[in-house]
Amino acid sequence: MLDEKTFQSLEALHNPKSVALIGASREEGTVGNGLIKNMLGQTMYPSKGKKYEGKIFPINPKADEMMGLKCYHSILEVPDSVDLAVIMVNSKFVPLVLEECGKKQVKTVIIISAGFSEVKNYDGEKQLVDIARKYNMRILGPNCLGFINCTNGLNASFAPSIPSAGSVAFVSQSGAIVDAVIDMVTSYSFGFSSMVSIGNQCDIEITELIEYYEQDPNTKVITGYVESLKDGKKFLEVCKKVSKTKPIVLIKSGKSARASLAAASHTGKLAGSHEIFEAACKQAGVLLVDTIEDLFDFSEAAACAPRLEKNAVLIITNAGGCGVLTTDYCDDEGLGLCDISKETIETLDKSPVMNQTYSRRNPLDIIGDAGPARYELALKAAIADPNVYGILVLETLQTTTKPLETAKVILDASKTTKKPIICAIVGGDYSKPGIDFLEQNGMVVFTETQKAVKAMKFLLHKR
Amino acid sequence: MTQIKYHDAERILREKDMPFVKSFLVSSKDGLNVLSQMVFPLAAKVMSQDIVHKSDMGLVRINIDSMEKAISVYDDFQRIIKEKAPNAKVDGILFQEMMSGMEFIIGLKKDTTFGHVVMFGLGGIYVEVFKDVTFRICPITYDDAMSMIKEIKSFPLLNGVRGSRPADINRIAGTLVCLSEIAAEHPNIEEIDLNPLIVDKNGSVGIVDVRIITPTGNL
Repeated sequence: MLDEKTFQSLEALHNPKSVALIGASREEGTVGNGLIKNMLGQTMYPSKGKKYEGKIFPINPKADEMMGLKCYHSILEVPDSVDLAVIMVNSKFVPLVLEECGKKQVKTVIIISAGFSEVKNYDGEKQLVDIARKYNMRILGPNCLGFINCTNGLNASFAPSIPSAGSVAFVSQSGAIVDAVIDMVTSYSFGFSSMVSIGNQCDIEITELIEYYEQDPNTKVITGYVESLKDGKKFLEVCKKVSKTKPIVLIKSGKSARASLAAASHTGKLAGSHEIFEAACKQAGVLLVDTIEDLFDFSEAAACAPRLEKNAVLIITNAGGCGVLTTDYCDDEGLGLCDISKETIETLDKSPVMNQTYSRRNPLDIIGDAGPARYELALKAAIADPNVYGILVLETLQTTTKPLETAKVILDASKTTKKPIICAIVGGDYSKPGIDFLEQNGMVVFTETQKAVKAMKFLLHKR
Repeated sequence: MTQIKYHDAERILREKDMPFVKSFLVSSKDGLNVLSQMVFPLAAKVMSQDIVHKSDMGLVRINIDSMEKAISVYDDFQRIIKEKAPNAKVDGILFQEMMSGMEFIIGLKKDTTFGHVVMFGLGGIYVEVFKDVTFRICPITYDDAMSMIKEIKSFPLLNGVRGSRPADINRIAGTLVCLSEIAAEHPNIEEIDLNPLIVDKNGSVGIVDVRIITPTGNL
């Protein structure tokens, strides 16, 4: 369990009633200007979702008013209490304003400013931590992009836009990757609960955030981009516990940076730091992926689809070739294909909707002329089949397919069962109406069958 | 980083009841009598931290199939040491019961981020080519050990192939757990190398060599 103090500090970060923006600026093109605009919901590119409803206090000694808000010369002049402060001033002024935050009893501070350990200014960074300790404050950063809570619209960052609200939390050791991800997900209906750029990680660390999200009702899946951990043992302990209730998916860089070969033994030579991190993830039930795309594909699956209770999956396909390919992928990934029950075959044999040349085995090839009615029948039978624990629905576009209607049939079927259904609609523009419909309604869809297989395998891990 | 004395390293393993092949360190000609308690053939090597390239110098012998041969090997080693490494500090000649079979690698290393980590995998001369190894962060349980053994690609070899009986996997798992315990008891240990761990045709498991490395060479 997160201790009470840490919890309160991370709560002040996620749900502050008031935020001070130290270094807010009227000057176009500056971070101080971008951030105050973000806080007011005026992002550079259009953003969906809520706007922050708490109190905002711009702090700038050179202004009395900013963007329609009263501007104070120092945080100490603000009459109300301040839960969260964002510091955007030049590094040499940070200690001073941080002290003021301390005196003001701010709970948590986001330090956007650069110029600390990333440029080898270790003493400067230590000074910040010492000040924070003195006042029982916590620091996010320094040298970070900021923090976004999509659930309440809090955008204390200089990201160009924010994604819609969803149930995936993303903690990143790279601010640029947060931005990249925000831009990437604009083309999908993919949302986040929070996005955190931890910067130099001088104080608040990845492990604490993972533990916080365990109890966050807005978060169903925890994801992250990791470069280095401060306390590996704590990370292992926390992830072991958290992964029991929420999936954790991480991507780590630094694979090619091998550990030094000063060791005298084979063990030393073979145990590079990435291999060890992989082992830790395995032990902790954390899924480690290779690409950012995989990170979000699997998170989406984990957030939207129910758990795969047993490694026994049925493939329903209108394309024999795709079925075979998918079977290969299942073999590669260790995804188990079940046998269809006799009852299912009897049901399908009896139905006039089926093409009687259908495959009668797994993959269940319902033949290329299948339309929505046949998918509906196959899905109903699969859902009733006790051998089947998960369903992969593959679809390619023929004249008879009717993508949108088929999509509706799949969605309706998914509502009648706790078995996960993942779709692979192998197509492009013409299949898009079906793909979009499914995604907008919370179904997991891919255009590549291998991804569907990997995602389904991942659902075995979900609790 | 220095290796601790072989004698101390071996003692730690034996105290933990790890499957070390029967060996005796003979430091005098009279000491050779102890070999009558062993099952021939034996292997012999000189134990000295000052002598690094033992096999190149002829200070490793295998297939010693009789007491007479053992005595002659002992004398031979003394002669070579006098000639080629007169100033070396020699702990003795290690005679070991020979074991042959599949080689696996087992070890422990201290990682800066995660602390002690155990490793298991396929050994042999191509170990750094195949890299068929798995790791776990300590402390590990018996179940962790079993799961890491089953994870290596070469695991089918341990299940018995081409006439070999299945390996005593429980013993291997126990060895991994012991390494984890040793790490907990001696936190200053930087690395332990048990290479090779041999699995013979009967499935028996034996450790043939041990190196324990600490910052100063002391435990």
